[in-house]
Amino acid sequence: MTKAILFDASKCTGCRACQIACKSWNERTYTHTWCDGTYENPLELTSQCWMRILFNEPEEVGSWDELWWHFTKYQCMHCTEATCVKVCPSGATAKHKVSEEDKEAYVVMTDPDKCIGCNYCVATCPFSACRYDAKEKGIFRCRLCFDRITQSPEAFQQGGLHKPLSDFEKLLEDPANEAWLRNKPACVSTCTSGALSFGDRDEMVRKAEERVVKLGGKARIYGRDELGGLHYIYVLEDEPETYGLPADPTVPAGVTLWEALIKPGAPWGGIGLVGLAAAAGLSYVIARRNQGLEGKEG
Amino acid sequence: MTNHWADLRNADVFMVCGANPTENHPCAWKWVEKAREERGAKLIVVDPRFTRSASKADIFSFIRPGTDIAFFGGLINYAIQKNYIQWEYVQNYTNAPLLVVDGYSFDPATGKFSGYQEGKTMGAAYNKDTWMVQYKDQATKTGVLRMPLIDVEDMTNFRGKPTAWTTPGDPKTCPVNREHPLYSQSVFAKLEEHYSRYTPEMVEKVCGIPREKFIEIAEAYCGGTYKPEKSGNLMYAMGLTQSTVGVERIRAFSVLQLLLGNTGMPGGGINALRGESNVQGSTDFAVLYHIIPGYMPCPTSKEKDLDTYNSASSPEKIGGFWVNRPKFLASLLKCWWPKVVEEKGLAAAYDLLPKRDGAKDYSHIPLFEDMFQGVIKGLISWGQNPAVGGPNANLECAALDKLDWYVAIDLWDTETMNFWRRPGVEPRDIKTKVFALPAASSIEKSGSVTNSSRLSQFRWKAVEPPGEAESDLWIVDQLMTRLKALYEADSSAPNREAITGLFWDYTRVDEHGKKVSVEEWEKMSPEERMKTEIDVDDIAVEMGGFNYPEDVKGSEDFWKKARSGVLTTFANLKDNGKTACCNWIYGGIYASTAKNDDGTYKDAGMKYLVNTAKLVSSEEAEKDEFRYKGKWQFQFDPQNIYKDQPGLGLNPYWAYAWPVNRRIIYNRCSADYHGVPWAKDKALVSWNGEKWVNNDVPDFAAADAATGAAVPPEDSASGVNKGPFLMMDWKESQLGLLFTNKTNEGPFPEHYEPVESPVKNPLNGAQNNPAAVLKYPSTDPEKGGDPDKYGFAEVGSNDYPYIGTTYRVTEHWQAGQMTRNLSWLGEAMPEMFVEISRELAKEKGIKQGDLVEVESKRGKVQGVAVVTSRLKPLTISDGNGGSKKVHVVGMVWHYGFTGLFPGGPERGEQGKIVAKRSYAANQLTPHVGDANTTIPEYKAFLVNLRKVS
Repeated sequence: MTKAILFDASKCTGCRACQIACKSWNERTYTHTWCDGTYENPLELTSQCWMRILFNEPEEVGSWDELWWHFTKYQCMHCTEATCVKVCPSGATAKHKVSEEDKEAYVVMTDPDKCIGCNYCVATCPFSACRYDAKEKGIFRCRLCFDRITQSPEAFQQGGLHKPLSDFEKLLEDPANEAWLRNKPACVSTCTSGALSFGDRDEMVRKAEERVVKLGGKARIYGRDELGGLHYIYVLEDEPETYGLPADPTVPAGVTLWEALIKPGAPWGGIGLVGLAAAAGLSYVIARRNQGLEGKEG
Repeated sequence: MTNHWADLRNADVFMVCGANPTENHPCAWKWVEKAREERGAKLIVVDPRFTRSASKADIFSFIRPGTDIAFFGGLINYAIQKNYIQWEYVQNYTNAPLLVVDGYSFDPATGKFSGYQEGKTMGAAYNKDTWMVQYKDQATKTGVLRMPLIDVEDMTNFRGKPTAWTTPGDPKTCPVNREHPLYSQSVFAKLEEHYSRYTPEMVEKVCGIPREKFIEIAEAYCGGTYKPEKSGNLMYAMGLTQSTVGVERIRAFSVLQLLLGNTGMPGGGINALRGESNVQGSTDFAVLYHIIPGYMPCPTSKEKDLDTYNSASSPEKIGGFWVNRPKFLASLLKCWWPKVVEEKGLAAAYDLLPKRDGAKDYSHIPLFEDMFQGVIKGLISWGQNPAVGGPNANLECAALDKLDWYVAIDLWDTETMNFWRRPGVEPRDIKTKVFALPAASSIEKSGSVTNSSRLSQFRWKAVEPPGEAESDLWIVDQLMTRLKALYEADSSAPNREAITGLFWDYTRVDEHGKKVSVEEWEKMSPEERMKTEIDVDDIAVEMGGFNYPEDVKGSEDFWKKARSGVLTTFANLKDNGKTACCNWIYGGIYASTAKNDDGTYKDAGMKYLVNTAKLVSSEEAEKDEFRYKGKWQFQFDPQNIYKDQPGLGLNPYWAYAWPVNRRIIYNRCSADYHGVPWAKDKALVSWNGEKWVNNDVPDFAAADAATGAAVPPEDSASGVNKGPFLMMDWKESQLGLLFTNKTNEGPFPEHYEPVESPVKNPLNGAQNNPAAVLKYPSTDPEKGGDPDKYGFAEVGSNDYPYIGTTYRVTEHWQAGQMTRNLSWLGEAMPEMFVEISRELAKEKGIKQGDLVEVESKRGKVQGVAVVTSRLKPLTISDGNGGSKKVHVVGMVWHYGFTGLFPGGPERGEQGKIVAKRSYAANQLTPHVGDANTTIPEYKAFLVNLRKVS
């Protein structure tokens, strides 16, 4: 049993309360922004901005009836086939269980103490959702509010957030806070329009499927099967591209090679086989990383 | 709102027009979602922009800013043409079957109704003698005449259920008696004639809504909600009201709602979405010039004495509920000047009330004009930021320049506090003395808040205000205490007793909320006294009203006795000075705690102030991060707050809705002539054959006031002086008004162009609202005004070819001071932007993200271009037989020049601020307003646009 967040785009009003709640709970600071001609801001995910709402609209429309304005909650998707976990050379990025009952680990987090700052995950993420912060020396992204949804104090600290455990316990002392705080990520707690819900992944998938049937037309589910199943399930009313989501996110072929052959501790790495394919994998990862860094600096 | 937020869940069709609730009322949106999910409700959005609300709409249409009456008139005409009329409702509950007097007319060639008085404006614009209905006895105005628009059960009085419909239950199949000899004189016939010009083709010409799109909307709204059991819901906000025809726009839709039978229904009504959490409370308490608390008219110099004032509401002259007004006024006077009432009588206390000049307008625009003229020398603004939020902000700042002194009370360092160093002026040139008083925010003070649902809650202080900030009550107290001392010392002060005699003997509390006894107070130094505050609970007692205690020994005894004598309803208020109540509509709000057997409070819905929220001691508070336990648990009846018997979201035990905890106004209209609810699942009141069974508090005479006997439904439907619209003050019957003489510009709403318009009025010969004031001193050279600097662009101006409009975004709030100082919100929406269509951008060579300058006759403002498909050029009539393509330029009005995110300055590399020049969208808007309320015309004006190179 794993948990997931369901984002029903048909109900999202783009109010961005989730974006602010994420900042508030995770104690992310302000970053300088400016309007670049859209409603979107910040323009990129950063170590200080773990989720943001994308505002998508059509370039040209034939008639008024074809107009749309799609809002997308965008952050780490907690992929089952997580590229970042595959490429991580130090084992810092790993999937975690939320409770003992979980059959598998699924919350992707990076342990700042183990992270060596190689940026491989940043370079290869199919959703471009990992960010490295040189100052705080770590990879930052959505943690599915691991500290809120878990019941165990250890897990709270394992989240890697430098927040004293007492904060959390103090909040829970007041029974009034129990209902909204416990078991729900900050974004879900704050959503006013009912676009976000959180629960067992199977339940979220079922709910999404029902909603898709109700909406009809071009409505579809996204995240159920992609990359072995995401832990963000989307209900979309149109093609994923109209929401700024990749139609078919995949683990790059190069990454698979890298994981199998070169990555320290890889099954074939010990043999010392450095073949053409392996070289291709290495060059892919490094090239992507450099590209990414250049992109950032430019 | 006639209905309330949670009631949105009961709607079948929503019309969102002049509002953007997804953006500006995000928490309320969940009820719309609920209606869509559970009832399959349809959502129609009509707006100059494809907004966040539009993104959720089933049907969306653009509309040219400033043309809503043409659109609504089109809907009225469409409903009449298709017979989408809820006939039983219209015949029984509205004034449609009444007869209009001879002499009433409307002339499309001049655009004027009968009675127009050349050169006059506002209330004097028309002689309203012909805006009347016919009576048996015209001299005494008794025995109003009716006719049967349709055949009904009682063909003597022309009331009852329809009898001639071919499909019972479907009003569309009611034959209309157009051949009846009296038909042509009926209000309905006049309405039909008036709106016959508003064809779908005309709507297209005026509003730019294509004919097919208009018909799609009209079918969905009129066709979807005219059936008795269906509810159509209008959600509107400033997009409708902020106009020279603001009041008439709301009237136009009210007329449509009456025709479709949507008013008084759960899920229906006319719903003003308030933009501020307590703006309803502020109007209830008369933070307006024309009323005193509880919507009683502010006395003018014509109402010289109490008898004259009261005679206007005598039962000989009016009907409905307002005949009780003398009781409300007497209780108010007793509350304010108890000693004067006791010693000299109510009439003497009335004399102390300031009387305004009845012909003078004291609203925002004329006040600033008076400052500009040097008539007003000093200004106190409280939680207001006119340098950003005021119309024609350049003019309003120039008016502030002329003041001797200015006091600003606000949470933040606002633009208006800093008007003397706004971009473009030299501080040394401005002589105004400016004082800034830091105020406490809503969570830093205790008091009541009343929202759009008329729902009032009392909130206890959650945290201490920072620094020197103080609560509003503290500031008022300090001001009044000092004023009293000054008046006491000056025996020649004008209207002295109004100040010296004003009751101010409130209980005092210290900084920790602990009561200060009289002995302690007497020992206190002036400095210590300054740290105390009035006990806000005393004010709540005054709101709820109380039997005035006698034989009182000192202040403590007075308040003890007042509390034991609190009233349970405003019906207990007396006109003899024996009761006190500072606002009758809240009468009964502070009632007893006596309980019924089932644990509910006896005065169901009244007791919202039971102090279950105990302030913890300061010692405890220090230990507890949250300071005050149970701050949200003060609701009056914890066991029942979620109780919602019929499942309509009425939640009668949650907080208190004035009046008398009534959740849906005009709820008699939710049931048919015989008192049977139109829809079984929407039952508010129903007649069981012997008495009324109520889920909501009846808004009609359900029981005889004297005997308590149940009033049968036929009487409360349209009996003499017992109509379903109880607050109407007409003596004959309280009916929904399709035809009225209460507005200044006409008995039916008519389309007039905004003062700045790209075209001639295609609908009639008057370009602008004939009753609106178009010339203020600021634009009159004879009075020192400058029309080139503060005036208007001409019709169809080539210098200003585009239509400018302003709006808000969800990330910021009003004039911005509360949100532009919060870094996370500023990060999300950092600066001034200007939305334009891709077509206009192409024409002007503007790309997304370019810096552009928008200019009106009155000013310039810069912003970042947001080039979008969500705006489209509209094709409309040019008023001369041709057509014209018009572009809309949209601007947010939140930004200014102070705070963390000023928003409007010029930028350098990487968005770095390099200069502060223009700052607020309202530097562009005109100084002109509605002909009844003078609400400024913010939403439609003319601009030019250029790219800043």
